[in-house]
Amino acid sequence: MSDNVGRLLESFGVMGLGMLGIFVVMLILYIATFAVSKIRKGE
Amino acid sequence: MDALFGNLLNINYQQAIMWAIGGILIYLAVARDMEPSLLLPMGFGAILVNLPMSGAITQQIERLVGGVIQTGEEVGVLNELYAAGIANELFPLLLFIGIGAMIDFGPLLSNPRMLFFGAAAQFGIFFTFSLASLLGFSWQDAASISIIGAADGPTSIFVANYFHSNYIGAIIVAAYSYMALVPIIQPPVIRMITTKSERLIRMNYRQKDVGRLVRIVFPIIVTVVAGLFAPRSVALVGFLMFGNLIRECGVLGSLSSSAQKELANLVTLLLGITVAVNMQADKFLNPQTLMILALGLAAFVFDTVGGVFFAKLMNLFMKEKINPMIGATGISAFPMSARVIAKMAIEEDPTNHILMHAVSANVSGQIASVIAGGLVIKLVEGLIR
Repeated sequence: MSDNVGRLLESFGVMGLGMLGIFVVMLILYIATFAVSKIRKGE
Repeated sequence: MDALFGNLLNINYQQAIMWAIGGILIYLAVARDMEPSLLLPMGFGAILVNLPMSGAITQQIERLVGGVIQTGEEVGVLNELYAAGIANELFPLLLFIGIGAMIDFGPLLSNPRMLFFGAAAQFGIFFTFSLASLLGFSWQDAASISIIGAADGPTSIFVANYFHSNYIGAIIVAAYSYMALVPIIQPPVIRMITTKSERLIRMNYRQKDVGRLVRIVFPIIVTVVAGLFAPRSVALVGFLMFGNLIRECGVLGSLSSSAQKELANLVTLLLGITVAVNMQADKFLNPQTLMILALGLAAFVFDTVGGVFFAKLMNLFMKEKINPMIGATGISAFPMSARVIAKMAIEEDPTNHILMHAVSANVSGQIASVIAGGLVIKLVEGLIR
Protein backbone atom coordinates (compact mmCIF):
# COMPACT_ATOMS: atom_id res chain seq x y z
CA MET A 1 0.00 0.00 0.00
CA SER A 2 2.73 2.42 1.02
CA ASP A 3 4.66 1.39 -2.10
CA ASN A 4 1.69 2.42 -4.24
CA VAL A 5 1.32 5.73 -2.41
CA GLY A 6 5.03 6.43 -2.78
CA ARG A 7 4.87 5.56 -6.48
CA LEU A 8 1.85 7.81 -6.96
CA LEU A 9 3.60 10.70 -5.24
CA GLU A 10 6.69 10.21 -7.40
CA SER A 11 4.51 10.23 -10.52
CA PHE A 12 2.80 13.43 -9.32
CA GLY A 13 6.28 14.89 -8.92
CA VAL A 14 7.00 14.08 -12.57
CA MET A 15 3.64 15.62 -13.50
CA GLY A 16 4.36 18.83 -11.64
CA LEU A 17 7.93 19.20 -12.87
CA GLY A 18 6.96 18.29 -16.41
CA MET A 19 4.18 20.87 -16.66
CA LEU A 20 6.37 23.47 -14.97
CA GLY A 21 9.18 22.71 -17.40
CA ILE A 22 6.97 23.12 -20.47
CA PHE A 23 5.54 26.41 -19.20
CA VAL A 24 9.00 27.75 -18.39
CA VAL A 25 10.25 26.87 -21.88
CA MET A 26 7.19 28.47 -23.47
CA LEU A 27 7.64 31.58 -21.34
CA ILE A 28 11.24 31.93 -22.51
CA LEU A 29 10.12 31.45 -26.12
CA TYR A 30 7.39 34.06 -25.62
CA ILE A 31 9.87 36.60 -24.26
CA ALA A 32 12.42 35.81 -26.97
CA THR A 33 9.83 36.12 -29.77
CA PHE A 34 8.59 39.39 -28.33
CA ALA A 35 12.15 40.72 -28.03
CA VAL A 36 13.12 39.79 -31.59
CA SER A 37 9.97 41.39 -33.02
CA LYS A 38 10.70 44.59 -31.05
CA ILE A 39 14.32 44.65 -32.26
CA ARG A 40 13.09 44.33 -35.82
CA LYS A 41 10.59 47.17 -35.38
CA GLY A 42 13.31 49.36 -33.85
CA GLU A 43 15.58 49.03 -36.92
CA MET B 1 1.17 -32.43 -50.22
CA ASP B 2 2.72 -31.52 -46.88
CA ALA B 3 5.19 -29.22 -48.62
CA LEU B 4 2.27 -27.42 -50.29
CA PHE B 5 -0.33 -27.27 -47.52
CA GLY B 6 1.76 -27.89 -44.39
CA ASN B 7 2.01 -24.22 -43.46
CA LEU B 8 -1.79 -23.93 -43.29
CA LEU B 9 -1.64 -26.06 -40.16
CA ASN B 10 0.60 -23.41 -38.56
CA ILE B 11 -2.21 -20.81 -38.55
CA ASN B 12 -3.44 -20.02 -35.05
CA TYR B 13 -6.44 -17.99 -33.93
CA GLN B 14 -4.29 -15.12 -32.62
CA GLN B 15 -2.85 -14.58 -36.09
CA ALA B 16 -6.35 -14.62 -37.55
CA ILE B 17 -7.38 -11.92 -35.05
CA MET B 18 -4.42 -9.81 -36.16
CA TRP B 19 -5.47 -10.22 -39.79
CA ALA B 20 -8.86 -8.84 -38.77
CA ILE B 21 -7.20 -5.92 -36.94
CA GLY B 22 -5.07 -5.26 -40.02
CA GLY B 23 -8.22 -5.31 -42.13
CA ILE B 24 -9.92 -2.83 -39.80
CA LEU B 25 -6.97 -0.45 -40.01
CA ILE B 26 -7.04 -0.67 -43.82
CA TYR B 27 -10.81 -0.06 -43.79
CA LEU B 28 -10.42 3.00 -41.55
CA ALA B 29 -7.71 4.33 -43.84
CA VAL B 30 -9.50 3.76 -47.15
CA ALA B 31 -13.21 4.05 -46.38
CA ARG B 32 -13.03 6.63 -43.57
CA ASP B 33 -9.92 8.51 -44.71
CA MET B 34 -8.42 8.28 -41.21
CA GLU B 35 -4.66 8.96 -41.33
CA PRO B 36 -4.40 6.73 -44.42
CA SER B 37 -0.67 7.31 -44.86
CA LEU B 38 0.00 5.47 -41.62
CA LEU B 39 -2.97 3.24 -40.94
CA LEU B 40 -2.93 1.55 -44.34
CA PRO B 41 0.75 0.48 -44.21
CA MET B 42 0.33 -0.55 -40.57
CA GLY B 43 -2.77 -2.58 -41.40
CA PHE B 44 -1.10 -4.31 -44.32
CA GLY B 45 2.05 -4.84 -42.27
CA ALA B 46 -0.03 -6.45 -39.51
CA ILE B 47 -1.23 -9.01 -42.03
CA LEU B 48 2.30 -9.56 -43.41
CA VAL B 49 3.90 -10.29 -40.05
CA ASN B 50 1.09 -12.56 -38.86
CA LEU B 51 1.20 -15.04 -41.70
CA PRO B 52 2.68 -18.27 -40.31
CA MET B 53 6.45 -18.58 -40.92
CA SER B 54 6.28 -15.19 -42.65
CA GLY B 55 9.42 -14.46 -44.64
CA ALA B 56 8.90 -10.74 -43.96
CA ILE B 57 10.17 -11.16 -40.39
CA THR B 58 13.07 -13.01 -38.81
CA GLN B 59 12.43 -16.73 -38.48
CA GLN B 60 14.25 -19.76 -37.18
CA ILE B 61 14.16 -22.10 -40.13
CA GLU B 62 15.57 -25.50 -40.98
CA ARG B 63 17.92 -25.67 -43.89
CA LEU B 64 19.64 -28.56 -45.59
CA VAL B 65 23.35 -27.79 -45.51
CA GLY B 66 25.73 -30.41 -46.90
CA GLY B 67 23.16 -33.14 -46.40
CA VAL B 68 22.57 -32.14 -42.77
CA ILE B 69 19.47 -30.32 -41.52
CA GLN B 70 20.53 -27.22 -39.60
CA THR B 71 18.40 -24.68 -37.78
CA GLY B 72 19.40 -21.15 -38.63
CA GLU B 73 18.09 -17.64 -38.46
CA GLU B 74 16.71 -16.00 -41.59
CA VAL B 75 16.54 -12.26 -41.07
CA GLY B 76 13.33 -10.73 -42.39
CA VAL B 77 13.30 -7.51 -44.42
CA LEU B 78 10.96 -5.79 -41.96
CA ASN B 79 13.38 -6.53 -39.12
CA GLU B 80 16.19 -5.08 -41.23
CA LEU B 81 14.13 -1.94 -41.86
CA TYR B 82 13.25 -1.78 -38.16
CA ALA B 83 16.91 -1.92 -37.16
CA ALA B 84 17.81 0.63 -39.84
CA GLY B 85 15.10 3.15 -39.15
CA ILE B 86 13.07 2.64 -35.98
CA ALA B 87 15.47 1.11 -33.44
CA ASN B 88 17.89 3.97 -34.08
CA GLU B 89 15.01 6.52 -34.27
CA LEU B 90 16.09 7.60 -37.76
CA PHE B 91 12.70 7.41 -39.53
CA PRO B 92 10.76 9.56 -37.03
CA LEU B 93 13.53 12.17 -37.07
CA LEU B 94 13.70 12.33 -40.86
CA LEU B 95 9.90 12.63 -40.94
CA PHE B 96 10.17 15.56 -38.57
CA ILE B 97 12.29 17.46 -41.10
CA GLY B 98 9.41 17.15 -43.53
CA ILE B 99 6.82 18.11 -40.92
CA GLY B 100 8.88 21.14 -39.87
CA ALA B 101 9.05 22.26 -43.49
CA MET B 102 5.26 22.04 -43.73
CA ILE B 103 4.49 24.15 -40.65
CA ASP B 104 3.82 27.89 -40.91
CA PHE B 105 4.54 29.49 -37.53
CA GLY B 106 3.21 32.86 -38.77
CA PRO B 107 -0.18 32.74 -36.95
CA LEU B 108 1.62 31.75 -33.74
CA LEU B 109 4.30 34.43 -34.08
CA SER B 110 1.64 37.11 -34.63
CA ASN B 111 -0.07 35.99 -31.42
CA PRO B 112 2.70 34.51 -29.24
CA ARG B 113 0.54 34.17 -26.10
CA MET B 114 -0.88 31.07 -27.81
CA LEU B 115 2.41 29.36 -26.88
CA PHE B 116 0.96 28.78 -23.41
CA PHE B 117 -2.06 26.91 -24.70
CA GLY B 118 0.27 24.45 -26.35
CA ALA B 119 1.89 23.92 -22.98
CA ALA B 120 -1.40 23.49 -21.10
CA ALA B 121 -2.72 20.92 -23.54
CA GLN B 122 0.13 18.53 -22.73
CA PHE B 123 -1.43 17.92 -19.30
CA GLY B 124 -2.88 14.63 -20.51
CA ILE B 125 0.61 13.20 -21.01
CA PHE B 126 1.60 13.64 -17.39
CA PHE B 127 -1.80 12.71 -16.00
CA THR B 128 -1.70 9.48 -17.98
CA PHE B 129 1.83 8.82 -16.74
CA SER B 130 0.51 8.82 -13.17
CA LEU B 131 -2.46 6.67 -14.15
CA ALA B 132 -0.33 4.14 -16.01
CA SER B 133 2.16 3.81 -13.17
CA LEU B 134 -0.74 3.33 -10.74
CA LEU B 135 -2.04 0.51 -12.95
CA GLY B 136 1.23 -1.36 -12.53
CA PHE B 137 3.21 -0.40 -15.63
CA SER B 138 6.92 0.19 -15.11
CA TRP B 139 8.18 3.78 -15.24
CA GLN B 140 9.54 3.21 -18.74
CA ASP B 141 6.32 1.71 -20.06
CA ALA B 142 4.19 4.34 -18.29
CA ALA B 143 6.26 7.07 -19.96
CA SER B 144 5.99 5.38 -23.35
CA ILE B 145 2.22 5.00 -22.97
CA SER B 146 1.68 8.54 -21.67
CA ILE B 147 3.40 10.05 -24.71
CA ILE B 148 0.41 8.95 -26.78
CA GLY B 149 -1.00 12.20 -25.40
CA ALA B 150 1.60 14.10 -27.39
CA ALA B 151 -0.73 13.38 -30.34
CA ASP B 152 2.36 13.17 -32.48
CA GLY B 153 3.52 9.98 -34.18
CA PRO B 154 7.27 10.60 -34.39
CA THR B 155 7.46 11.75 -30.76
CA SER B 156 5.53 8.67 -29.63
CA ILE B 157 7.82 6.36 -31.59
CA PHE B 158 10.92 8.19 -30.35
CA VAL B 159 10.04 7.99 -26.66
CA ALA B 160 8.66 4.43 -26.77
CA ASN B 161 11.77 3.27 -28.60
CA TYR B 162 14.08 5.18 -26.22
CA PHE B 163 12.62 3.27 -23.29
CA HIS B 164 12.61 -0.03 -25.24
CA SER B 165 8.94 -0.40 -24.45
CA ASN B 166 7.46 -3.85 -25.04
CA TYR B 167 4.22 -2.19 -26.07
CA ILE B 168 5.50 -0.03 -28.91
CA GLY B 169 3.10 -1.63 -31.41
CA ALA B 170 0.01 -0.87 -29.35
CA ILE B 171 1.33 2.61 -28.52
CA ILE B 172 1.82 3.55 -32.16
CA VAL B 173 -1.55 2.13 -33.22
CA ALA B 174 -3.20 4.07 -30.40
CA ALA B 175 -1.34 7.32 -31.17
CA TYR B 176 -2.20 7.39 -34.86
CA SER B 177 -5.75 6.10 -34.41
CA TYR B 178 -6.63 8.68 -31.78
CA MET B 179 -5.06 11.47 -33.85
CA ALA B 180 -7.49 10.54 -36.59
CA LEU B 181 -10.34 10.35 -34.06
CA VAL B 182 -9.86 13.90 -32.72
CA PRO B 183 -13.14 15.05 -34.38
CA ILE B 184 -14.93 12.41 -32.30
CA ILE B 185 -12.99 12.68 -29.05
CA GLN B 186 -12.69 16.43 -28.49
CA PRO B 187 -16.20 17.88 -29.12
CA PRO B 188 -18.10 15.90 -26.43
CA VAL B 189 -15.35 16.58 -23.88
CA ILE B 190 -15.42 20.31 -24.67
CA ARG B 191 -19.22 20.49 -24.42
CA MET B 192 -19.07 18.75 -21.05
CA ILE B 193 -16.64 21.24 -19.50
CA THR B 194 -17.77 24.51 -21.06
CA THR B 195 -21.01 26.49 -20.98
CA LYS B 196 -22.80 27.73 -24.08
CA SER B 197 -21.95 31.34 -23.23
CA GLU B 198 -18.26 30.40 -23.00
CA ARG B 199 -18.38 28.70 -26.39
CA LEU B 200 -19.97 31.85 -27.84
CA ILE B 201 -17.09 34.12 -26.81
CA ARG B 202 -15.96 36.03 -29.87
CA MET B 203 -12.31 36.56 -30.62
CA ASN B 204 -11.13 39.21 -33.04
CA TYR B 205 -8.22 38.35 -35.24
CA ARG B 206 -5.89 41.20 -36.07
CA GLN B 207 -3.56 40.32 -38.90
CA LYS B 208 -0.01 41.23 -37.83
CA ASP B 209 2.90 41.25 -40.16
CA VAL B 210 5.52 38.78 -38.98
CA GLY B 211 8.98 39.82 -40.12
CA ARG B 212 11.34 37.51 -41.95
CA LEU B 213 13.95 37.88 -39.20
CA VAL B 214 11.49 36.60 -36.59
CA ARG B 215 10.53 33.66 -38.81
CA ILE B 216 14.20 32.72 -39.29
CA VAL B 217 15.34 33.27 -35.70
CA PHE B 218 12.35 31.48 -34.10
CA PRO B 219 13.31 27.88 -35.01
CA ILE B 220 16.87 28.52 -33.85
CA ILE B 221 15.70 29.93 -30.51
CA VAL B 222 13.27 27.02 -29.99
CA THR B 223 16.05 24.49 -30.60
CA VAL B 224 18.49 26.17 -28.22
CA VAL B 225 15.98 26.76 -25.42
CA ALA B 226 14.35 23.34 -25.65
CA GLY B 227 17.75 21.70 -25.91
CA LEU B 228 19.02 23.39 -22.76
CA PHE B 229 16.00 22.31 -20.71
CA ALA B 230 15.37 18.91 -22.26
CA PRO B 231 18.60 17.75 -23.86
CA ARG B 232 17.14 14.41 -24.92
CA SER B 233 14.67 16.32 -27.09
CA VAL B 234 17.39 18.04 -29.13
CA ALA B 235 17.16 15.48 -31.94
CA LEU B 236 13.36 15.75 -32.14
CA VAL B 237 13.13 19.52 -31.72
CA GLY B 238 16.24 20.12 -33.77
CA PHE B 239 15.07 18.17 -36.80
CA LEU B 240 11.60 19.74 -36.63
CA MET B 241 13.07 23.23 -36.45
CA PHE B 242 15.68 22.42 -39.12
CA GLY B 243 12.83 21.59 -41.47
CA ASN B 244 11.14 24.86 -40.56
CA LEU B 245 14.35 26.84 -41.04
CA ILE B 246 14.76 25.38 -44.53
CA ARG B 247 11.24 26.62 -45.27
CA GLU B 248 11.60 30.10 -43.78
CA CYS B 249 15.13 31.02 -44.88
CA GLY B 250 13.83 31.79 -48.37
CA VAL B 251 16.94 30.52 -50.18
CA LEU B 252 16.33 26.77 -50.11
CA GLY B 253 13.07 26.47 -51.99
CA SER B 254 13.86 23.16 -53.68
CA LEU B 255 15.14 21.59 -50.43
CA SER B 256 12.01 22.76 -48.63
CA SER B 257 9.81 21.34 -51.35
CA SER B 258 11.68 18.01 -51.31
CA ALA B 259 11.45 17.82 -47.51
CA GLN B 260 7.70 18.47 -47.57
CA LYS B 261 6.97 16.02 -50.36
CA GLU B 262 9.55 13.41 -51.32
CA LEU B 263 11.27 13.01 -47.95
CA ALA B 264 8.05 13.01 -45.92
CA ASN B 265 6.32 10.61 -48.30
CA LEU B 266 9.26 8.19 -48.56
CA VAL B 267 9.78 7.99 -44.83
CA THR B 268 6.04 7.69 -44.14
CA LEU B 269 5.89 4.84 -46.66
CA LEU B 270 8.57 2.87 -44.84
CA LEU B 271 7.62 3.90 -41.30
CA GLY B 272 4.10 2.50 -41.30
CA ILE B 273 4.95 -0.92 -42.66
CA THR B 274 8.07 -1.25 -40.52
CA VAL B 275 6.25 -0.44 -37.29
CA ALA B 276 4.11 -3.53 -37.96
CA VAL B 277 7.05 -5.67 -36.77
CA ASN B 278 5.66 -4.99 -33.28
CA MET B 279 2.19 -6.13 -34.28
CA GLN B 280 2.97 -9.82 -34.18
CA ALA B 281 0.15 -11.62 -32.39
CA ASP B 282 2.24 -12.83 -29.46
CA LYS B 283 3.42 -9.25 -28.74
CA PHE B 284 0.20 -7.38 -29.51
CA LEU B 285 -2.66 -9.53 -28.22
CA ASN B 286 -2.57 -9.26 -24.48
CA PRO B 287 -4.68 -7.51 -21.82
CA GLN B 288 -2.10 -4.72 -21.62
CA THR B 289 -2.94 -3.67 -25.19
CA LEU B 290 -6.54 -2.92 -24.16
CA MET B 291 -5.28 -0.99 -21.15
CA ILE B 292 -2.93 0.99 -23.40
CA LEU B 293 -5.78 1.86 -25.77
CA ALA B 294 -7.83 3.06 -22.79
CA LEU B 295 -4.90 5.04 -21.35
CA GLY B 296 -4.24 6.61 -24.74
CA LEU B 297 -7.83 7.79 -24.88
CA ALA B 298 -7.47 9.20 -21.36
CA ALA B 299 -4.36 11.09 -22.48
CA PHE B 300 -6.24 12.76 -25.33
CA VAL B 301 -9.23 13.56 -23.11
CA PHE B 302 -7.12 15.15 -20.39
CA ASP B 303 -5.04 17.06 -22.95
CA THR B 304 -8.33 18.67 -24.00
CA VAL B 305 -9.37 19.24 -20.39
CA GLY B 306 -6.00 20.80 -19.52
CA GLY B 307 -6.11 23.22 -22.45
CA VAL B 308 -9.72 24.29 -21.87
CA PHE B 309 -9.27 24.85 -18.15
CA PHE B 310 -6.13 26.87 -18.76
CA ALA B 311 -8.11 29.13 -21.09
CA LYS B 312 -10.76 29.55 -18.41
CA LEU B 313 -8.02 30.43 -15.91
CA MET B 314 -6.58 33.02 -18.32
CA ASN B 315 -10.06 34.55 -18.68
CA LEU B 316 -10.09 35.39 -14.97
CA PHE B 317 -7.26 37.86 -15.57
CA MET B 318 -7.85 39.11 -19.09
CA LYS B 319 -10.05 41.91 -20.32
CA GLU B 320 -10.29 40.48 -23.84
CA LYS B 321 -11.70 37.03 -23.15
CA ILE B 322 -10.50 33.89 -24.86
CA ASN B 323 -12.94 31.33 -26.19
CA PRO B 324 -12.02 28.32 -23.97
CA MET B 325 -12.38 25.96 -26.94
CA ILE B 326 -9.10 27.45 -28.19
CA GLY B 327 -7.38 25.76 -25.27
CA ALA B 328 -8.30 22.37 -26.70
CA THR B 329 -6.41 23.12 -29.90
CA GLY B 330 -3.14 23.15 -27.98
CA ILE B 331 -3.10 19.42 -28.63
CA SER B 332 -0.57 18.58 -31.29
CA ALA B 333 -3.01 16.96 -33.74
CA PHE B 334 -2.37 19.55 -36.46
CA PRO B 335 -4.42 20.73 -38.34
CA MET B 336 -7.28 18.44 -37.39
CA SER B 337 -7.89 19.93 -33.95
CA ALA B 338 -7.90 23.54 -35.22
CA ARG B 339 -10.47 22.68 -37.88
CA VAL B 340 -12.67 20.78 -35.40
CA ILE B 341 -12.77 23.66 -32.91
CA ALA B 342 -13.29 26.30 -35.63
CA LYS B 343 -16.24 24.23 -36.87
CA MET B 344 -17.66 23.95 -33.34
CA ALA B 345 -17.46 27.73 -32.94
CA ILE B 346 -19.33 28.28 -36.22
CA GLU B 347 -21.99 25.76 -35.19
CA GLU B 348 -22.57 27.79 -32.02
CA ASP B 349 -22.48 31.13 -33.88
CA PRO B 350 -22.06 31.22 -37.68
CA THR B 351 -20.35 34.60 -37.47
CA ASN B 352 -17.69 33.56 -34.95
CA HIS B 353 -14.56 32.69 -36.90
CA ILE B 354 -11.75 31.58 -34.61
CA LEU B 355 -9.76 29.46 -37.06
CA MET B 356 -6.57 31.59 -37.01
CA HIS B 357 -6.46 31.58 -33.21
CA ALA B 358 -7.07 27.84 -33.26
CA VAL B 359 -4.25 27.31 -35.76
CA SER B 360 -1.88 29.40 -33.60
CA ALA B 361 -2.55 27.26 -30.54
CA ASN B 362 -2.45 24.05 -32.59
CA VAL B 363 0.98 24.89 -34.00
CA SER B 364 2.17 25.77 -30.49
CA GLY B 365 1.07 22.31 -29.44
CA GLN B 366 3.43 20.82 -32.01
CA ILE B 367 6.37 22.51 -30.29
CA ALA B 368 5.10 21.77 -26.79
CA SER B 369 4.53 18.07 -27.49
CA VAL B 370 8.12 17.59 -28.61
CA ILE B 371 9.43 19.43 -25.56
CA ALA B 372 7.13 17.30 -23.41
CA GLY B 373 8.66 14.19 -24.95
CA GLY B 374 12.14 15.37 -24.03
CA LEU B 375 11.06 16.29 -20.50
CA VAL B 376 9.36 12.92 -19.99
CA ILE B 377 12.58 11.16 -20.97
CA LYS B 378 14.68 13.38 -18.69
CA LEU B 379 12.38 13.14 -15.67
CA VAL B 380 11.70 9.42 -15.94
CA GLU B 381 15.42 8.70 -16.34
CA GLY B 382 15.85 10.55 -13.05
CA LEU B 383 13.19 8.33 -11.44
CA ILE B 384 14.81 5.13 -12.71
CA ARG B 385 18.21 6.15 -11.34
